[in-house]
Amino acid sequence: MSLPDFKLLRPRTLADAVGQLNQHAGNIRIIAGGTDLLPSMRQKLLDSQYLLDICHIAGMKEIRPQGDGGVEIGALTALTAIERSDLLRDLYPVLCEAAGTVASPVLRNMGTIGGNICLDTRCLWYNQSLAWRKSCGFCIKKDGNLCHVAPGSARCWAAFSGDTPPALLCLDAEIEIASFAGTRRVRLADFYTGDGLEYRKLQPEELVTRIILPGSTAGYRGRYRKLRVRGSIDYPLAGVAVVMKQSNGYLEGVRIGLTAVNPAPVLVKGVTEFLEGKSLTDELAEAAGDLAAKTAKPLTTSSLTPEYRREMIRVFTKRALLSLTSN
Amino acid sequence: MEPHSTLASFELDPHTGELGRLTIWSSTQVPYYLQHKLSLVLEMPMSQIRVIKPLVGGGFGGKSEVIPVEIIAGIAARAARKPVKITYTREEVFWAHRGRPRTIIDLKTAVKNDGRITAVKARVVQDGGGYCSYGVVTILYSGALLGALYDIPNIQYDGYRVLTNKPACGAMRGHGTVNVRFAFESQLDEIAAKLNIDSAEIRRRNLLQPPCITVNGLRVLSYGLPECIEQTVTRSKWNERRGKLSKGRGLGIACSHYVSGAANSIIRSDMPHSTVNIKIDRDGGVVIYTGASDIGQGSDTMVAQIAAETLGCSLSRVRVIAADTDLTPIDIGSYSSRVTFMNGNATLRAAQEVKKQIAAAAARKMGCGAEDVIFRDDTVHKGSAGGIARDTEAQPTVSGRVEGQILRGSLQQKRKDEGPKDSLTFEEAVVAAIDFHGALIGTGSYAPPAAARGGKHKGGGVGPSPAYSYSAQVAEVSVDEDTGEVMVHKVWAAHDCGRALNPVSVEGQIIGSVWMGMGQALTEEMVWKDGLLMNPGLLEYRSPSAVESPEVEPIIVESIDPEGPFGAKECSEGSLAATIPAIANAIYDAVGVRLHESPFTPERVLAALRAKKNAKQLNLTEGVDPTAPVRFREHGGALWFKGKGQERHEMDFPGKTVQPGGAD
Repeated sequence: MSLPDFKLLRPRTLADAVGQLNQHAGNIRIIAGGTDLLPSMRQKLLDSQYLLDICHIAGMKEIRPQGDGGVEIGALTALTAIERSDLLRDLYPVLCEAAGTVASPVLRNMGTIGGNICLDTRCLWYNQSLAWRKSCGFCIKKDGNLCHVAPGSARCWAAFSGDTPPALLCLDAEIEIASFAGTRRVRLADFYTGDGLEYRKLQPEELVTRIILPGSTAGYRGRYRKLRVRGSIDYPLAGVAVVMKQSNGYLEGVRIGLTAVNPAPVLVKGVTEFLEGKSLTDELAEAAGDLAAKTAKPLTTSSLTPEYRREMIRVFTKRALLSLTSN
Repeated sequence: MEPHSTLASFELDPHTGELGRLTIWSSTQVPYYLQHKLSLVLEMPMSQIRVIKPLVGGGFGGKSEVIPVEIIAGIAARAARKPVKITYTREEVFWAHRGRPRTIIDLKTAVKNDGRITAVKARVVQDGGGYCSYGVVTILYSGALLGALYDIPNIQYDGYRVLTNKPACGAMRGHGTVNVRFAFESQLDEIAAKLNIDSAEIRRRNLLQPPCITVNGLRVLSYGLPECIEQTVTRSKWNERRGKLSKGRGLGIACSHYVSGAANSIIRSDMPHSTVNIKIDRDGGVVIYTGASDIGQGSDTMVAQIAAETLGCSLSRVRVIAADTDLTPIDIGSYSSRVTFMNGNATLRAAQEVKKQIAAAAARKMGCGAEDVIFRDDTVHKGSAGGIARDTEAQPTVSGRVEGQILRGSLQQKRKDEGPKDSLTFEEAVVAAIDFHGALIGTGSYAPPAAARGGKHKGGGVGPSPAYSYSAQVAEVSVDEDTGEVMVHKVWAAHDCGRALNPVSVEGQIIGSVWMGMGQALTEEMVWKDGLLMNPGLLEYRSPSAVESPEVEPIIVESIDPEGPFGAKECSEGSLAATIPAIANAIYDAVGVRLHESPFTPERVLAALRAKKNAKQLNLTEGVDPTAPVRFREHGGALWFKGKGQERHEMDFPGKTVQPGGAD
């Protein structure tokens, strides 16, 4: 499958980049690592005439400590760099663990944290070649008006399949978005819509530039558990990030983030209050797993059945909690 | 492995512009079948078609029959009067290659209390797809290769290959045997458990007593299975460790076998299956013309090795020209593991014929009998009997003219003075032979002996082979009881390949077989929904990656077949079939669940674990209990929607929303 024709723009500064974005808004896609974008372009899923290659913009690849004890990560930082950053490993271990599970080493060298946050939602009926999609009359996410996963549904249920966003959600991360008009900051939790089609609140002329991790969640211990068929390469079929603090054996600020089971990465509601100040037992971990499994709404958007994937959310949550408290 | 690709080009007469001969370069396992089929479809005489097989990265059966692009490229090149090249995309490979058919197997095995098998009854249904392909052969192999592994006095077999609305299935590594072997070895394990016999022991109790002919007419001469079992059992410390491993960890054993080439060719004829020509010229270079198609398995190396070994010359002298219908004599192709056995035998015979000519000439030069000439280390010298032979007949120098071109002046004189020599260099011997015989050319061919061509019963033509390879494997796995995930830690794989002509290649084939078998056992499956293949790509199809590849300990067992070249048999397909049941049996040993459907995905394993514990059952495989596969899992047939494009399905009325995740 060949790439469609496009014009490649390679700005050197952020100002140039947002200028060009503004100029071609709606007809331009941003490429950083390209690990997800290029296969999709080959499958004719994207039909923009322009590609904005932001790799050469200076100052977007740094991991910098902040005054409040937090850390700021440039959106172009490679996942490998995050995986190997000593600073992040000390302060936000769950993020390093999540970044280390993305795809394969080669893809992590190319893939960026910004790209992982903005990752397109995935579905077996969507991530297919043009001929394949045409043969079933297309789908609601691209070129069609029917959802094959949930026939009768008026919305798209493609699953968000990034590995780092659930960890970032747990860490209460914010992202900085630049546009011609200026910059704005949003909490990552408010960035996703929960709809597979318009899965993020990002205007066509906007660009994610930075990820800001607050000092308040620095030092939280965490685990990321990912369900996949192979030990490498695969996108998550279900993913659970768990962070917590412990004082004298009592849990504090437990947060659980899920991915690949909903059209957006989500935090499990009520789990912080449920476990606050308690000492973890098998039963409590099981109950937290049930809470997480209730939040997960997997559909037949990927291989393995939805029931199994939801069950794994339960098992992984329980295991992550128990492993965090056991040492 | 590259996708299928073909380049077709017609010669154009420079004066009239008329189309001349067609040359096709194609990634094929069967250049001579391709020539034959092109001639039928393009209505051209075979002599006007030249098929060249360039370097091919892999076949595995997917290139063992003529595929549409080869014909289309030929027709397009004729219409366009220009060269035409067509290459499949990876997705098209998934649609158009000939994969292994989904198979439903009902198997009944009768045993005595001591574990001796008395009868086997099998009913096999294969989902063959839209066309016949090699399907008749597949379904017959599935039955025929119930025999020749164990001693089974009675076999009843009913095979059905059903045409369905899917891409056609055909030959794939381990053609026809793999799925049935999984069923058989699993059932044998169940029987062993029921009779309280060790799994390795029940296999030992059912060994053949070769030389013999099985009930379905398969002739077995060499039989390395007993040693394969012993080797794997010893190396895996089976007796000490089985049943004593930690929770969720287990060992499983299984055996398999495969043909070393089919004794009857697909296009029935009495022609030899392989012919090889060897030409040696005065430069001392050995040129082998063979039709064998090297598709990455190393047949060119094998052919060169056999010739060099026979002629006692170094490999660097040998050139192989292969798989070009204009240059090389016919070989029916690289499939059913036939090349080493059949093309190897033809090479051996061709080399022996040349050797005989060289020996006759060298003997005259050295003054000995031709039978006393020894070829070794690039020299030709007299054997032990040489001393007697010298006096009987003093040979004059054969030709001063030819010698003069190699040796000069005083050296020539000196040698002449010395009289007959005790040894000649390879070049000298070759020159002597050319001088003596004219051109130095040898040809050899191989056709399987009549005794190995099988019985007269219906379908008896498929399955017979001049020799069978044997394999035994022990797999060590662990199963996560909460998630159903299976991890293969190590596989001990013993393979009886007759004689390992190239041990590194043999080990590579064994490891590759285990790895490919593991893919079928754990992850690989073509998933169909509403007539659509849901995973037509390497990302979603999920062959195992390096991360989950287990350590494989290849063990070469040499049974030295009486008819193979230097005793060699096949080594590339037989091992695959044992891996799947070995893993299944190990899973049973680890957690006590018997899986009847592959691949053993985590959801199927977990469903079986839940069923065993009577825990809350998860409806995990779309309504079918994985322990009882009585029908195909997918719901083929009509598409949801009527027509193509933007039309909505009649059931898809607007406004109705389905609660996600609520439909379980």
